[in-house]
Amino acid sequence: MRMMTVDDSSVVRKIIRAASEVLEYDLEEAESGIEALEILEKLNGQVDLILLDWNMPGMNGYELLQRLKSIDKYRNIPVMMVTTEGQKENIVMAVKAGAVHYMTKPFAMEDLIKRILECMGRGAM
Amino acid sequence: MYGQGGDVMATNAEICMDMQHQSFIEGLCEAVGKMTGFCVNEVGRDDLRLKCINISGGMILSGERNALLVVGVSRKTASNLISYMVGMDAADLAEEELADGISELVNMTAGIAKIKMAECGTNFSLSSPFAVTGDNIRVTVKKHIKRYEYAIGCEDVILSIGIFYF
Repeated sequence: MRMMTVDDSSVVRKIIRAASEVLEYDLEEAESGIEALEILEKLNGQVDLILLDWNMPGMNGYELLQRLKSIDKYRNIPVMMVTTEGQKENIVMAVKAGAVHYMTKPFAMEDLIKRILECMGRGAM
Repeated sequence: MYGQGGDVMATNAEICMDMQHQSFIEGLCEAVGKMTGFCVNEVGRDDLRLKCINISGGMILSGERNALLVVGVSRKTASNLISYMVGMDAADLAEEELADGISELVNMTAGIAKIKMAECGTNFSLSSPFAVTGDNIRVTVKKHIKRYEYAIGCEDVILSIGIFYF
């Protein structure tokens, strides 16, 4: 299994890396939307889950989500938002744009792992 | 009558402001608790460890009133917190990671407070978080700017939280 985290915080990327190591999944790290698109292109979209922050400089997470859903080869990659934007309108926007899960920061590591497993179809929703 | 009304108005405004500040304090306690496992609560500001602030994370809040939210910690507290956040030995953390981690805690604090305050009809937008690092940093503001400072902590860590209205 391979996940990708898109977050401009190196500490958040490290936390997600720790979760990926527990799950024994490979992890790709991008610190911006543009870098995420470059990595996806190199991997030809072979990613099983994208964990996506909302607030990032340049292309934000919501814009990247919309972009991914408009490209055929990336459309079916599940995306989970992982963000401090916890207001209902943000959640509705993300779900309408195609996010399969929405996790607000802060979070406990066990909750993150549980949500990842749910997104991968390996846990109860 | 005017004086009495004014006093009541001032008291209500103070209560409202106190509740808003409580949202930030609770937000920081929740962010630290969930991300690091440290169970922190509001403490007195007379702790000597607060005199040594090496990393300050901040965000600008814009709305009906504009404010600067600042969370300050010593390098030791930052190392302690971030090592638990990422599951790494404190000695292996770079200075940049400590600053990034503290600014991320500020981001989470403001996110929690934003939701709590929106439920009470107060809305504001947030800048990107940032951090300032160096020895004995203090945020100083003009006298007419209202500043409110609090501290949260436990035996192992202590954090200052300041809200400066401008």
